[in-house]
This record gives sequence, C-alpha cells and structure tokens, in this order.
Amino acid sequence: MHTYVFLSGILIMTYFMVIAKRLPPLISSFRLQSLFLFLFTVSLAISGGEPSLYVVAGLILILKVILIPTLLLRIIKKIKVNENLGFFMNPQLSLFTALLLTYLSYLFTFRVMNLIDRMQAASFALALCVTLLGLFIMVFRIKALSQIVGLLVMENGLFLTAVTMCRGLPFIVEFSTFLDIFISVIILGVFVYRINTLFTHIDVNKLDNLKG
Amino acid sequence: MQIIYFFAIPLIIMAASFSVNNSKVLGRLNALAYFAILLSTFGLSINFKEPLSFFNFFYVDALSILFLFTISVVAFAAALFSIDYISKDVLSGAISEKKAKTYYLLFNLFSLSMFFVPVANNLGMVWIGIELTTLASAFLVGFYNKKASLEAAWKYIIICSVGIILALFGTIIFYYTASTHAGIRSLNWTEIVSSAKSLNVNIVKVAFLFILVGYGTKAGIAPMHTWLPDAHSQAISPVSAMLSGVLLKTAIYAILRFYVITNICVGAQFSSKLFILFGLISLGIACGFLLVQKHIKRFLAYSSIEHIGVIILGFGLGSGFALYGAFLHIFNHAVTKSLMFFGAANVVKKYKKDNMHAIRGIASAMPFTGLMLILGMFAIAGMPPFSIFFSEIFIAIGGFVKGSYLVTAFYLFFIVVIFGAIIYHLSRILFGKKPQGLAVSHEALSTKMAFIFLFIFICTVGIKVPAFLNTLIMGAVKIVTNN
Amino acid sequence: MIFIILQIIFLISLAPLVSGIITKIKNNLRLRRGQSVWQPYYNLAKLFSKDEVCSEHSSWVFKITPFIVFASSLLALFLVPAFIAKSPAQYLGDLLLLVFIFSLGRFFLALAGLDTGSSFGGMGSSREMFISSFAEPAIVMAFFAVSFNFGTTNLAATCGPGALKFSSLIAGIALLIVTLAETSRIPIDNQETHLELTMIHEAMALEYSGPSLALIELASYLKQIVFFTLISATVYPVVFCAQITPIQALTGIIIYLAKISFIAVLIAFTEVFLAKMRLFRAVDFLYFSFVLALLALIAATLGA
Repeated sequence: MHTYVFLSGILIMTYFMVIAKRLPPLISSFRLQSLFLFLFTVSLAISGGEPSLYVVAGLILILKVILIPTLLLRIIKKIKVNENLGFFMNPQLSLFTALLLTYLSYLFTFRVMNLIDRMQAASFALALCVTLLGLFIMVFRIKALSQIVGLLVMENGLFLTAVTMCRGLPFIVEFSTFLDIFISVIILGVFVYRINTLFTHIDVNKLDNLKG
Repeated sequence: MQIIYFFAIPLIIMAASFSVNNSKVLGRLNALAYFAILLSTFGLSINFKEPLSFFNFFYVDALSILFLFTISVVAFAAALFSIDYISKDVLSGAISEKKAKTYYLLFNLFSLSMFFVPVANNLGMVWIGIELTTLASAFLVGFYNKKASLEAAWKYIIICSVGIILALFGTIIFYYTASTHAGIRSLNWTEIVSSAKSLNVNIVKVAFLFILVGYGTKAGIAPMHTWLPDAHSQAISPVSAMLSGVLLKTAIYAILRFYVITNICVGAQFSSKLFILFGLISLGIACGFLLVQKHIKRFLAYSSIEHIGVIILGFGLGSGFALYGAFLHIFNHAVTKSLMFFGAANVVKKYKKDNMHAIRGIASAMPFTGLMLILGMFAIAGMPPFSIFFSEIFIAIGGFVKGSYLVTAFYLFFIVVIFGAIIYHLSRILFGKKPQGLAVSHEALSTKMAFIFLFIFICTVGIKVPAFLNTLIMGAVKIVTNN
Repeated sequence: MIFIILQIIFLISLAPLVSGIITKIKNNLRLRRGQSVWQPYYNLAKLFSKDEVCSEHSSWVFKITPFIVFASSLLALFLVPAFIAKSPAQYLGDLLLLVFIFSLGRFFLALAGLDTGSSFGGMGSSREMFISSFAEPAIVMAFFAVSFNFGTTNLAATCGPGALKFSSLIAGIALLIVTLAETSRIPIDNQETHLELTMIHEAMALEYSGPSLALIELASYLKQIVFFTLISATVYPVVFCAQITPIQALTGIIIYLAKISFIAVLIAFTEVFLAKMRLFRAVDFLYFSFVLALLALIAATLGA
C-alpha cells in the first residue's frame, strides 16, 4: 500500500517537473521527488532489506532533499537570473511526449525484461520512465540550471532502479555514487555561475559559438 | 603492491601544489614524478606474469597494465610539455601564478582518476573512476575561462554525465542479472566473468547496449561524439593530448570489460555487429568533417574520432589479427595524437590563431616543431614505417581473415580518404612562406624532450613491437577472447 | 434500505461542514481567526428564510435552474458508495452517468447565467464551459482507468474491495486536480471573491438570491462531497460489503470521515500555497490531470 503511494508520488513529481515553467517549482518538485524516494527506500529497508539501505536512505535525505535543492535555490537567488525555464517544446507537447516515454518504458519492461513479479515490474518501469523524463528535461529546457536538475532526476531514476531491482548496489559503490553526484552538482553550479558572469545569461541555446 | 605508486605520487604532487610557490619548480617536480610513475608501470609490465589482485578490490591483469602503461607514457609526455607551456602562459599573463598551481593540482587529479579506472576490479568503481575523470577534467577544459572554453566545458560535462548515467544504468542491469540469475552479490569483474554463462541473455544484451552508448559517449564514438571536438579544441593543450590520447581509451577499457562478459554470455556475434556499426559510423562522420575542417585543434579532435572508430572496428571484427591491431592501435594513437596536439599547441601559441587557412610556413618559422609535425602528420595519417600504419593494416588483415570483405573495404576507403585529407590540410600549413615579421623561434629543452620521447615510441613500435608490449597485448587479446 | 436513507441524510448534512472546515483551515494557515466551521449552515438558513428577487428580463430557465442543479447533485449523491461498498442506487447507473448528471447541472447553470442578460453571467458561463471542456475528458479518462481494473463501470464494484492499484492511485490524483476545477477552487477559480475579472462559478450564480441561491450553494456543497467521496473510494477503497453489522458501519463511517478530512486538508493546503492561474494557464493544469488520467489508463491496461 504505502509503496504504491511513494511510487506514484515519485511519478507525479516527475510529471510536475515536466510541466514546470519556472526554476523554483522545478527544484521544489525535485525535492519532493527525492523525499518520496527517501520514504520508499526507508520502507524497503524496514521490510527486511539490508541495513546499509538505512544509510543510503539517510544520504538521500541529507543530499538530495536538503543540501542540493537548497544549493540550487541559492544559486538562482545569487545570479538573479530570469526564472523562466524556456521551452524547446511547449508544455502540452512535453506532457504528451512524457506520456509516450512512460508507455515505452512500460512496454520495454514487459517485453524485454520479462520480470515476473508485478510489483517489481511496475517499479522498474517507473524507474526507467523517471530516467527518461530526466533526460527529456535536460534536452528540451533552455536554462542551464534545468539541465542540472534533469541530471539529478536521471540519477534518482537510476537509484530507484538499483533499489527495486537489486536492493541497492554494493554499499561502497552506492556511497561513492552519492559523493560523486554531490561533487558534480557543485562543479556544475560553479560553471553556471561562471557562464552567467561571462555571458550574462544561462540559456544553453545561445551557447552555439563552437560548431563544425 | 606496485600500484600504490600511481596513487601516492599524484597525491604527493597535489599536496606539493599547495606548498610550492614557484610554478616552474612545481612543473619540473611534476615531470619528475611522472617519470617515476612511468618507470613503475614499465617495471610492472616487464615483470608481468599473472594477474595480481589486492583485497579483491584492485585487479591488475595484462589488459589493465596495457592501459596503465599507455596512460603513464602520455601523462609523462604531457607533464614534460606542461613545464614550458605553463610558464610561458604565466609570463605572457594569460594565467596567474596561482592558476598555474591549480593547473598542476587538477592535472594530477585527472591522471589519478585515470589510473584508478584500469586497476579497479569492481565495475561500479570503474564507473566512479570514469565519472571522476569527467569532473577533474571539466575545469581543465574551461581553464582559460573564456566564452568558448566555458561553452565547451559545459557541453563536455553535461553530455558526458548523461552518457555515463546511461552506463550506470547498464551496470545496474548487469548487477541485477548477476544477482538474480547467477547469485553474485557483488560487482567484481572477476566474479561476474567466472559465472557469465549463467546470466540472462536478453538482459545482458539490453545492458550492453546501455553500456556501449553510455561509455561510448565518453569514448567519443559517433554519433555520441558531439562534445569531443569542442572539449579537445578548447582544453589547455597538454590536457588536450591527455583527453584525446588516454581519456577516450579509459572509456574503451570500461566497454571492453563488459564486452568480455557479454561475449561469454551472448556470443561474439551480438557485440561484433554493434561495434562494426558504430566503428563505421565514426569513421564516416570523422571522414566528412576532416575534409572541411579549418580549426587545427578541432581537426585533430575529429582525427581522434576516426581512430576511435578504427579501434572499435578492430574489436568488432574480433579475429586475432584485428584484436591485436586494435590493442596496438590504442597505444599508437595515444602517443601519435599526443605528439600532434603538442605540435598544434606550439603553433597556436606562436601564430596566435587557430584557423588553418591563415597559418602558413610552420616548418620555417619553428623548425623543430615543424619537423615533428611533418613526421607526426605522416604517422597519424598511417604511413609506413610509423606505428599506426601497422596497427591499421593488422585490423584490415583481421577483417579479411574473418571474411568481412564489405566492412573492410569501407574501412580501407575511409582510411584512404582521411589519409588524403590529413596530408592535404596539414602540408598546407606546414610548408609555404612564413608570415613576415614572425621571428624564427626555438623550443625549450623540456618541450623537445617531450616530442622526442613520444617520437621514439612511434618509430620503435613501427619497426618492431617491443617484447614487453607484445606480451601485454597478447595477454590482453587472450583476456578479450577468453581463453 | 435504512442504511441508504441514513447515508444520504448524513452526507447532505455533512456537505456544508466540509466547506466550512476547508475555509477554517485556510484562514488558520493565513494566521487569521476565520469564521466558524458552521458558517455555511448559518448562510443556508439565512438564505432560505429570505425573499427572492428575479430579473424581469429572465425566463423560465432562470427559475427552473436551481432545482435542476440541486436535483442533479442529489442524484449524484445516490450513485456513490460512501461507507459501504454499495451505492444507494446502483442499478440506476454507473460512472458515466455521473459525468452526464453533472454536465446537466452545469449546462442549466450556464444557461441561467446567460438568461439574465447581465454581462457577468455570460462571461461566467463561457468560462465555465471552457474549463469544463478540459475537465470532463480528464474525469472520464480517470474513470476508465479505474473501471479497467475491475472490468466494469459500476461504481459500487470499482469502489469496492479489491487490491489497491498503481493505476487507481494515479487516477485518484488526476481526479483530485479536476476536483479543484469542479469545486471552483483556487488555481482555477476562487470561491472567496466576486472580482469580475476572475470569477467563474460565482459569476453564473451572481443574479440569484434567497432560496434559489441557497439551493445552488447546497448543490455545490453536495457536488464537492461527491467528488471527495469518489477520490477517497478510488484511492483507498471502501472495505465493507453490503451485509454489515452496526460496529462495521461505525468503523466505515470513521474511516470515511478520516479520508474526507484528509482530502479537505490537502485541498486547503493547495489553495493556500498555490496562486490563482490565468485562465489559459488553468488549461495547462487541467491538461496535466488529463495526462495523468491517461497514464493511469496505460498502467491499468498493463495490469499495474
């Protein structure tokens, strides 16, 4: 029961990110998505998983629910950038594409992976769909910050895959992955900051000097 | 515990970069340190008999040592080349003294992460090593903090991160089938490979696709190569050499580890087809861009895509000759392309422009660099007696031996066209009259040493593959063909 | 039978309270004391005891509309199961009928808005029709998703005992978003103002007074509780079947009240934390719920 609630929470939040028009809602949706992911992981840990899952859940809570969104919101405040995301594809069409991607990931799960357990199949499809939608946000949104968020959404999808399919990766890998994500967000943040000072905008569609 | 050097020495230099105040001294120290690393990898490869394993965490076999050796050769050359390059930048005021120290810090971090990839046994740790290489080199790509370099760095880090996330997805799926179908609760390559037969065939196929596309992005396989020309052309030049020479190869290394598992589980047909497809696409795209490219460093970057295509194609053909050629090509391309990037760096610094239509008469303006570039041009284009010719020929023979005539014909066609493109473009900038008012200049001793060091490898491997390298490559071929 | 009568009476008397509670929570969240939760009852009592004024230009449509609107809401109330998994009049119709019944009420309300000839009424009607043309597909799609799981559109069956499914959860959330539009709540409409630029539902009912207004208000309370009940039944199905003991009935009532108040709190929070959208942004919002409903349908077809 509660697993379903958390999973659909993750899905809805991903869809919210697809229609979000401004950066702050995008980031708060990401925060909520990570919160649902945290709850999901905790529920898995309680239902007889490995004790390392608790640590991993704690890492999600600290990094993805608290630190990273706060960091991103601070960057937005600091660089005083126009908060609109900018669309390469309008929200309606984006939603429709998102739907299509979701359907594809379901098909992929049922046709290719041949998972027997329905619950596992559903969560794998969901994880794949979250990963794809993260990629979608990266590709079809103009602001550089939304690419960071898209990357993080993809990571969330991956983590969901790891947790539902194999009850988490080996602990050391999981731990270093989280550290890695945090470092990469900081580095990307630095680059956004620099791009903003040098270009006076963070629109990736205007980063087109290098061609051919 | 020989591998401790790869981690200890860069760490020491990183610490030194905080305490040593003079960047020139730091540069010399750096070169010395990489010489020590080179010696230790050399020792490792000479004495190599059987795979070493430490704590079940590090695993060093012939394949690892081949890559380690390649990385250390290029890193040493880059360290030598950096001394003069960076101090000139400091003198001309392009970068500050403090930034020069940051350069050495990042340089070491970058090579440290690359050394980590081939020795990690855990496939998850391999992933982390490759992600770290991206993070460490992103600042080196955007080092000059100009508009173009920032743009390149942004594209580099974003595209490679996406690629690498797909690779992690593949790794997770591998882990899933390993844990449910083979009962292995670990990502150690040695364990997965030993029970690769019991993995689920379909899932392994899917996972390998993700791995190939994911790590392939990092390896610069077309059509996922879009970050590569930007990053290679904008990075600080010694790092361009490392990016092109060895960074791409570490990604290839990661693919190869999965390639072995996949081949055991699914059979060689599956990966072979994919590799040949991607290899030919890379060759074709590189061929087209090489014909029309104006920017000298971008030109070299597209040539890297071509050579990655050659390597992938070699692995795809999969016969003994082709595999040997592919491994040899990994080493040959690393040394030759580094030499070309060093030459291009000197040219760009001297002429202060990178458009090949505006550069003329390098041979008379900078005699030593000019000579090296002429030789390097023939080497990179694949002219005998230089080493690349032989590895490319091995792959062609491998193709004929296997009976893939059409593929090999395409391969030879692209190679020939690219040969023409390289000779045409580079000879135009090398020969001719030098612009008036451009004084003839001579390179610093350390720079010359870097060139000569690389050139020795180009020649000797061309004439005869050294015995230790031969053993390593044979070992690597054995690992890949799994017997 | 007695249960059915009791349930209907109970729901009717509960309906204004839900609105009162939501208003109270909203006011408290905004750090105001707020009106009493019983205020809707006082309002109704006051309106029923007042005289009525009709525009002399209006026709019979204007006079008949409050009764039709109220009747449609009441009929809808008969169709939904609340405490036990059996709708009071389940042989009367199913999920689709529910949609039609609400459309009927909406149709007459829109006509009445036009009938008086005031400019606000016409504006409200056109907006209501615009919004509902996006809301209704979402409702229907969400219902399809739910009924797909059970192979029937019968409300009692779809809200009855059965494993909670991923698809029904998503459909419930889609319904929740539509409910915001149907009960004229904040991102779409605002019940609290009579600002001519924004009002939709209030604009249509602007010309009504006295008992007619009371009927329309009561009808909208009923509509609200019908939607809440539907959401609660799809997301967290009713557990007790037709033949039940009084203890079970009591438990059913308590569970039902808990579910309803949870939704009420959720709605109150949404209203406080969201800003009202422009009319054309509201379309995006409803489109979102439609996509969610479609998603639920996809999940349902794949059996998740």
